[in-house]
Amino acid sequence: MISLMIAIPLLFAFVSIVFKGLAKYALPFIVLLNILILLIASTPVVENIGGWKAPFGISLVLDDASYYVVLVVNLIFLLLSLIPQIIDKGYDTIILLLLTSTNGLVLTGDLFNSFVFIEITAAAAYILAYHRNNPYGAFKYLIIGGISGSFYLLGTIFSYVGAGSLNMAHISNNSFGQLTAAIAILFILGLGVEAKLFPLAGWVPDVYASGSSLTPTILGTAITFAIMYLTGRIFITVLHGTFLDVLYILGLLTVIVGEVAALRQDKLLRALAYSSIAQAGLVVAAISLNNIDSLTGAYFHSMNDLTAKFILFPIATVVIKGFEKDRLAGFAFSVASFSLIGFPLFAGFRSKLLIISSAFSAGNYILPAVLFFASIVEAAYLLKWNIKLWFEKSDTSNNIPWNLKTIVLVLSILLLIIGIYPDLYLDASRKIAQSILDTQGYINSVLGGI
Amino acid sequence: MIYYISIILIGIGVYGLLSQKNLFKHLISLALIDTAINLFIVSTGYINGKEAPIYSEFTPIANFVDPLPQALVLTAIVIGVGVLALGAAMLIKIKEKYGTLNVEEIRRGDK
Repeated sequence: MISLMIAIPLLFAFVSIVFKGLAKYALPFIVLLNILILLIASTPVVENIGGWKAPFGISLVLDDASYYVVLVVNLIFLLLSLIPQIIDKGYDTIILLLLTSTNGLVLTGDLFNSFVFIEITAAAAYILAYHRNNPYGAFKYLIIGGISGSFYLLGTIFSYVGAGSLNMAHISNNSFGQLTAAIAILFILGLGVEAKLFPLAGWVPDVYASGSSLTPTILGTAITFAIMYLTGRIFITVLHGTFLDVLYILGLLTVIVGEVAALRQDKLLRALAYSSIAQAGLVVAAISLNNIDSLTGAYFHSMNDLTAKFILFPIATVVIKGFEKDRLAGFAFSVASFSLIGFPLFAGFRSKLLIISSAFSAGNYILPAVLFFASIVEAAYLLKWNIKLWFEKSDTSNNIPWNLKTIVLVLSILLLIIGIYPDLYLDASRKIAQSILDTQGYINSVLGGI
Repeated sequence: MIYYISIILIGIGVYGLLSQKNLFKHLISLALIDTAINLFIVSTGYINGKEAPIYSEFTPIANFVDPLPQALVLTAIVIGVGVLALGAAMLIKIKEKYGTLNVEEIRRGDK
C-alpha cells in the first residue's frame, strides 16, 4: 500500500509530460491521496517490493519516524499546490518528481535505493535551481551535488563490502570491522551537500537567492527535513552513532559561519539563504548529541524552521515596496522572523530551549554558547530587515495573491499557537526521535524472525 | 591493483575541479570521478578465476563472481549519464547568458 505513495506521483509525472498543464490541477489530489494512505496505515508497515524477503529484496519501511516525516513532507507539498501561481509552466512535472523521490527517500529501507532517490531528488533540484534563468548557480549545484552523490555511492559500496548487505536493518545488525571510519566519512561527504554543512554549502545562496519563489520554498523546507531524517537514520540507526563528533564540529562551524555571513548580506533573500544554512547546522549539531531530548529538540527545531521559512521565502521574493499597504503579510513575516530568532512566546523559543537544556544535561557547554551567539546575530539582522520593510514609505501595494496571503497568515498563527501549546509539534518530533534511537525495534520490524 | 587506478582517477578528477577555470572541464572532471567509482564498484565484486554469473549447461557449479555490484553499476551509469546530460544542457544556457564558460569572467559579469 505504501509503495503507492511513490508510484502514483511518478505515474502522473510521466502523464504530465504528454498532457501539459494537467499536473498543476492533479497535484493537490495526489498529495491528498498520499495523506489518506498515511492516515489509514498503522505503523510499523514493512513492504517487500516484488515479494523478496527483507535482506535480499528492497523493503519500504513505515515506522514512527518515517510516518511523521512523510506526513510533514506531504503537507508541505499540499500547501505548495494551493499556491499554483508560483509554479511556472513546465515545472509541475519537476514538482511531481520531487514528491516521488522525497517520499521514496524517507520510506526506503535500502541504502542503494536511498542513493537512487537522493540522485533523483538532486536532479529535480538542479532543474528547480535553474528556475528564473539562473544557469550558473544551477551548474555549481550540479557539480558539487554530483560529486557528493558519487561519494554517497562509494559509502554504500563500502558498507556492502564491509557488512555484506545493502539493507539498512541488516547492515545495522552486522558489524563493519575496520571500514567504519571510511563509511562514516563518505556518508558525511555524501549527505553534507544536501544537509547544507559548512564547507559544502557554497551553492545555497546562489540557488536560493535567484529571485524565484518556488526554489527556496520547496528546497529549504521539505527536502531539508527529509535529509535531516536520513542523516539521523544513517548515523544513529545504521552506524550506531559512530563518528558523530565530526558531524558535531561541522554543525557548530556551519552555525557560526552561516550567521556571520547572513549578517553581512545586503539582499534579503541572500540573508535568508545563509540563515537557512545556519539553522541546518544547528539541527545537525543537535542530532549529533545522540540522546532522546536533543533529537526531539533537533526535529522540533527543524519543523519550526521550515514553517517559518515557508512564510519568509515567498514573502521575501514578492515584497519590494515594504509592508505599509500589506499589513497582514507584514504581520506573518514578523511572526516568522521572531520565531526564527527565538523570542519567548514564539515557536522557535521552545525548540531552542529544549536543545539548550538537553545539551546542559549532557554536560556540553559549547553548543549552548554557540546557540546564544547565533540567536544574537539572528536578532541583529532579522530585526534590521523587519524595521527596514515596515518603515519604507510606499503608496502602492505589492500585489500579493490572496491565497499566498491566507496561507502565510494561517502558518504564522500556527507558529504563535505552537509557542504557547507546543504539544502538536513536540509529540511528532518525540516519536521521530524515539523511533530513530530504537535500533533494535527497527531491525526486528524489518528483518522479522531472521 | 585496479583499486589504485580508480583512486588515482578520483584524485585527477578532484584536481581538475579545483584547478581549472573552464566550466566544461569541471563537467569532464565530474564524469571522470563517476567513471572511477564505477570501476571501483565492479572491481569489488571480481574474484580471480571465476566466471560470469549466468546459469547454463557449461557452468553446472555456480563458480561465479558477485553479480550484485554489476547490477548496481548499471544503475549508477544511467544516473551518471542523466546528470552529465543535464550539466551539458546548463552549459549551453550559461554560454547563451554570459557569452563565456570561464568562471572568472562569469563572476565579473554577475557584479
